[in-house]
Amino acid sequence: MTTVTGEAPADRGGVLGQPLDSREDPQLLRGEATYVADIDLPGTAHMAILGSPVAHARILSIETKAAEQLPGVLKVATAADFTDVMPLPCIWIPGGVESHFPPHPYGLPGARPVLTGDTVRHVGDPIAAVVAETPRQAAAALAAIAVEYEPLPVVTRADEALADGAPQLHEAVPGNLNAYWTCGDKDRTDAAIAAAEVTVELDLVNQRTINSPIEPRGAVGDYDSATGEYTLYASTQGPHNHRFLLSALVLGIPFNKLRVIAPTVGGSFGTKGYLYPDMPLVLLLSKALGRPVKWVDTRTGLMNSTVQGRDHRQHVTLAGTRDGRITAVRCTSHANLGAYPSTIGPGVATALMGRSISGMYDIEAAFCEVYAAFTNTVPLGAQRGSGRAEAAFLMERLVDRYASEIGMDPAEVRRRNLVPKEKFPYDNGLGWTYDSGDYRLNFDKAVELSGYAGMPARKAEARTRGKRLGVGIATYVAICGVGPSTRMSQEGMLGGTWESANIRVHPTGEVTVTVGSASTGQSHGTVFAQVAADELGIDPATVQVHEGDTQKAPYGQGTYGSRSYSMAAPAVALTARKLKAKLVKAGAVFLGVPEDKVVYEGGAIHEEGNPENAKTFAELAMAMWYGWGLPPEIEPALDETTHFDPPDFNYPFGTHVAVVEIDELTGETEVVAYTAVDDAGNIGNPKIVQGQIEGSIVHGLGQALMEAAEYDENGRLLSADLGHYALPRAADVPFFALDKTVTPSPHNPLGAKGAGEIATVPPAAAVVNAVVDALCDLGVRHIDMPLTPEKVWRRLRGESQ
Amino acid sequence: MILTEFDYTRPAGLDEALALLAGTCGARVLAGGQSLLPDLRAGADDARLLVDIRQLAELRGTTRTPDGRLLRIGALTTLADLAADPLVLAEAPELAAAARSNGDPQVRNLGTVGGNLAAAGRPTDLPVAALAADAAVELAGPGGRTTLPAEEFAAAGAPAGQILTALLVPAAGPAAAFEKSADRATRYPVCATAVRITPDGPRIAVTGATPRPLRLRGVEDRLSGGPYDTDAVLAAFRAEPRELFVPGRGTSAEYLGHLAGVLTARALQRAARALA
Repeated sequence: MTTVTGEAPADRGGVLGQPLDSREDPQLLRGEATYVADIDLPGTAHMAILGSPVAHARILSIETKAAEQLPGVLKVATAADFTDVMPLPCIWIPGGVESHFPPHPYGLPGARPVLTGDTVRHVGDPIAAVVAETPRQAAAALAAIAVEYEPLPVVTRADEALADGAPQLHEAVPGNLNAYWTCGDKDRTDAAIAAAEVTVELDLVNQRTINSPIEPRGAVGDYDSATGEYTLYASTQGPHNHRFLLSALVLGIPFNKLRVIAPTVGGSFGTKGYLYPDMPLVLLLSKALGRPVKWVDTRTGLMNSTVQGRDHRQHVTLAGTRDGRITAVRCTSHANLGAYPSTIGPGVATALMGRSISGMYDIEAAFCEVYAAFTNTVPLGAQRGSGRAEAAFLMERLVDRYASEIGMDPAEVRRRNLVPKEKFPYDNGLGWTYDSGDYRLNFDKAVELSGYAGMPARKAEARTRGKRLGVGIATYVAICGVGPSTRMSQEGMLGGTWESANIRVHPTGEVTVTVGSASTGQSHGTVFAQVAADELGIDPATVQVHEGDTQKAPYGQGTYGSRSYSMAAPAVALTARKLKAKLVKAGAVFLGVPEDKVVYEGGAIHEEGNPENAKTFAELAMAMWYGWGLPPEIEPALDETTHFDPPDFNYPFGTHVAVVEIDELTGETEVVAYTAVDDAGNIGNPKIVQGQIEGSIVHGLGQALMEAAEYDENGRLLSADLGHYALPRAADVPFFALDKTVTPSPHNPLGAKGAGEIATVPPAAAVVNAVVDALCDLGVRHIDMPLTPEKVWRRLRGESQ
Repeated sequence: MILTEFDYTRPAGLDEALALLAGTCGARVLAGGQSLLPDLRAGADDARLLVDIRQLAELRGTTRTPDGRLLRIGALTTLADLAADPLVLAEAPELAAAARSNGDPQVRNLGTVGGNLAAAGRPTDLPVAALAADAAVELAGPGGRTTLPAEEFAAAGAPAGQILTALLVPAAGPAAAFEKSADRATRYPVCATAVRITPDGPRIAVTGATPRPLRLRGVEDRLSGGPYDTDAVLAAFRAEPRELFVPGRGTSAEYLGHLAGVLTARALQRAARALA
C-alpha cells in the first residue's frame, strides 16, 4: 500500500529506530490473543444491560418481577439497588472557565449514574442489569423488564440545545450549557478582521463519527470474599487510572482492594479511556452474587453506548491581505457533548480543538470560542486525532477558501504563512507553545512528492475520461504527549498525567520492563523492549515487557493522545540509565578500579584502557543478585523505577496531499493518490509507525467520504450497525506515498513526538479541499462531509448545498 | 446479538435434505451462510434447524449442456469460482462480473450462486445478471425437479420446501455487461444494471434502485434500434415512471433513476464494444 522514500532511520548502532517486526501482531492476526471475551473464570455468570429505547423520558416505573422468574436469571438490578454507589466522575473539564455538571457527592464534576432511575437521556442509557447463568438467558430476560416512560422532548444538536425553550437535560446544567470556553485574543482578532483587506467565512459541520475498534468493550468482575478484593478485567486504555476512579470515586472502597487488568485490547482509538457503567456493575454484581460476572458488548450496543467523536458546528472567519498574508482567524463552535459528560469529553471538545486552530501558520491574531452543550445523544469523547482534526479541518478549509478569493495557488498561500524555523519555540497565541519544527522543509517535501506541479496536466487528462480531478493540501500541528501534569491542571485535568516504567534485571541477565501505559494493539512490547535494549546495549529478545495489570505494573495514566512513545518510552529510557549508572558504580567494585575508569559499552563494562578487565551484562546481573562484596552505599539487585513528567507537550506536524477523481455523471468520488509527510520526531520503530500512519490516513478518509453518526428527530441512531455505518476498506484507498521529516522534541530524552493518531488529523481537510478544487469552476465553495455521491452529483448539476 | 439456539445437520443427499426441510418446522438450508448467519446473529431469522448442504458435490461446478446452448451452474458454486470460470467469462460475462463485484474476497470465497439468487430481501448482485441473461433456475422439491424463469423467481422468491439446485444460463458470447455502484457500508448495489445485447435488441435489468430486480422492458423498447449513447439511454430512463425507483438512505429517487441510466449506458456501450 505504501511507497516510502527519503532517509533511512538514523543508525546509531543500536536497536532503537530499527524496523523490527511486531512481537504482538502474529497473535492478534491469528486470533490467539486473550481479550476480555476470552476470559472464562470458573462459575462465571453473565450480565446483560437494558438500555433505554427512547432518547429522553421520565421513568415512571420499572417492573422486574417477570424477568426475575425466567429460567437461569440470578438477579435483576436497577438504580434502587445501588443507592450507596456514587455516580461516575468527569475528570477533564473546560479549563479556567465556569462550567456546570451533574453532581457528585465529593463536589467533583459528576458524569452519570451507574444505572439511571429517574430520567433517561439518550437511547442506550442503562436502566437495568440482568445476571443469568448464560448470556442468552440474560439477554432474553431484558425483554421481560417492563419500564413505563413519560416521553420528554428531544434535542440532538448542540446549537438547538442552547436555544430558548429547548428541552432541558440536567437540573444542575441551566440551558444545557456545560461551558462557554474561549482562547486567544478576541479584541485583537475582531479588530484585525474588521480592518482586513480580505475576509472569508465558512459554516462547517464536522459531523459526529462512531469509533469502531474491532473489539467492542467488555468487562469481567470478580469479588474475592476472603480478601475483600475486587478484580476487574476490562478493555481499557487506562487500567491504573480506572482503578483510582472506580475505587475512590465510584465504589467508595480502598484503592488497594481493586485490581484492574486490561488483557489484550482490540483497538480503541480513544473509546476505551473512559469509565462506563458496566465496569462498576460487574464488580457490584459479582459481590452480590458471589460469582464472577461477565459482560461483553455487541456492535450495536457499542454504537449506542461507547463515546462518539467530533461533532462541532462552526462559523469560521479568516482575514488576510491581498498578497496572501493571513492576519487573523476566528472560530465560533457549538460542541455536542452528548447526554452526559464522558470521563474526559469536555476537555477534548474545548482545549484540544480551540488551542489548535492556527495550525502550522504564523498568525498575529487568533480567537476561538466554544459552546459545549448537552443533547440527547451518546456521550462525546475522543476519537483518534480528536480536537486537532476538527481544528485542522476548519483552518485548512479556510486557507483554500482564502487562496481562491485572492486568486493565489493554495500551496503558495501556505508557504507564505508557515511558522518560520527560527521562531521556535513558537507561542501560537492560543495557548500552545510549539516545541520544534521545520515546517517549510516538511511542506515542500510533501508538495514535491505529490507531483503537485503536474496537476494541471492530470486534470486535463482526467476530463478525457469523464472525470474531474482535484488536488487538496492540508497541514497540521497535533499536540501530543499529555503531559506535563501542572500544565494539564490549568487545562482542567483533574489528575496527574505523568507516566512510569520499572525495569528489573534478573539474576540470569534477562530483563523485565513494566510500564504504566497499556497497549490497545500498537506493539508496545516490541518498542519498549527496543528502548530498554538500546539503552542497556543488550539483545531486545532478552527483554520482556508487561503492562495492563495494576498489580504488576507501576502506576501510569495509560495510552491516549499518542502519548506512549513520548511519555512511557522516555520513562523506560531514564530507568535504564539509572540501572547503567548503578552498574558503573558497582562495576568499579567488581573490576577493582575507580568509578571514573569504568566504561559501559555494548551491554558490558570494562576498565578504561584495559578491555581484558571486563564483566558482561549477565555476569553483572548475577553479581548484583549475590550482592557479595558490595559496599553499604550500593544496594544489591537491579530494580529501578522512573515516573516521568515532561516539561511541556510535544507537537508533531505534517503535510498531506490528496488527489481525487469525481465521476462527472454519478458524483462518485475516489481518492486516487495520497501523499503524507509526517514529522513525529525521533521514531523508535519505523515499521510500526508506518502502520499507524497508514491506519490513521484511512481513518481520516473515512470521515471525509462515508462515516456519519446520524440521529433522527427522536434521537434514535440511524446508523447503529455496520450495515448502516460505513467504514473504509482496503479497496477504498489508494497506495499511499509516505515520507517523513525528523525534528526531535526537546521535551523528552528520546526526542520523540506523538505518532499513533497524528495522520488522522489532516485527511478530511485534504479530501474536501480536493473535491472543492475539482468543482471550483462550478462556483462550489464548500461541501459538507461525508462526500456521498448524490451530494456531489447535485453540486455537479449546479445545485447549492 | 447473541445467536439463538438451533439444531444442525448434514444430510447425505439431496433427497434427505428435502425430507428434512419438509418435515421440520423452522428448517433452513445452509450453503455459504453469507445471508443466513448474519440474520441469525441479528435475530432476524428464527431458524430451528440448519440443513447444511455444502457437502453435496453434485450441486457444485459449471458445465455446458449437451446441446451447447446453456450453461448449467451448480447452486453451490462459489462466487469466486463463478467469477473466474473461463466458460462463464466467455459466454455470460455479465454474470461473472456480477459475481466479481460481490462483497469482499472472503464473501466471494464462501457465498454461493444459490444463496445469492435466493437471498430474499437483500439486493444481491446475481439476480439482475440472471434477468438480463434470460436465465432460469432449477429447483428440487418433494415432487422432483422443476425450472422457473429467473424473472419469476426474482418476483416470487424461493418456494418453501424446495432447494435451488442450479442456474441455467443461455450461452451468448461477449455482448453482455454488468455495472454497479456499491453501497459503502454493505457493498450491495445502490444500483446495479446488467445488459445483454441480442439480435432482438437489448435486454436490460436493474436492481438496488428498484424494489426488486426488474427487467426494464420499456427502456429496452425505446432503445431497441440503438445507438446506446449516454444521452439516449438517459432519455429512455427518464420516460420510466419515477415511482419505479425507491429512495434509500442518502439517495433520492431522482438520483437513483439517473444513476440507473448512467450505469445502463455504460454497460450497453461496453457490451456493444465487445460485440463489434
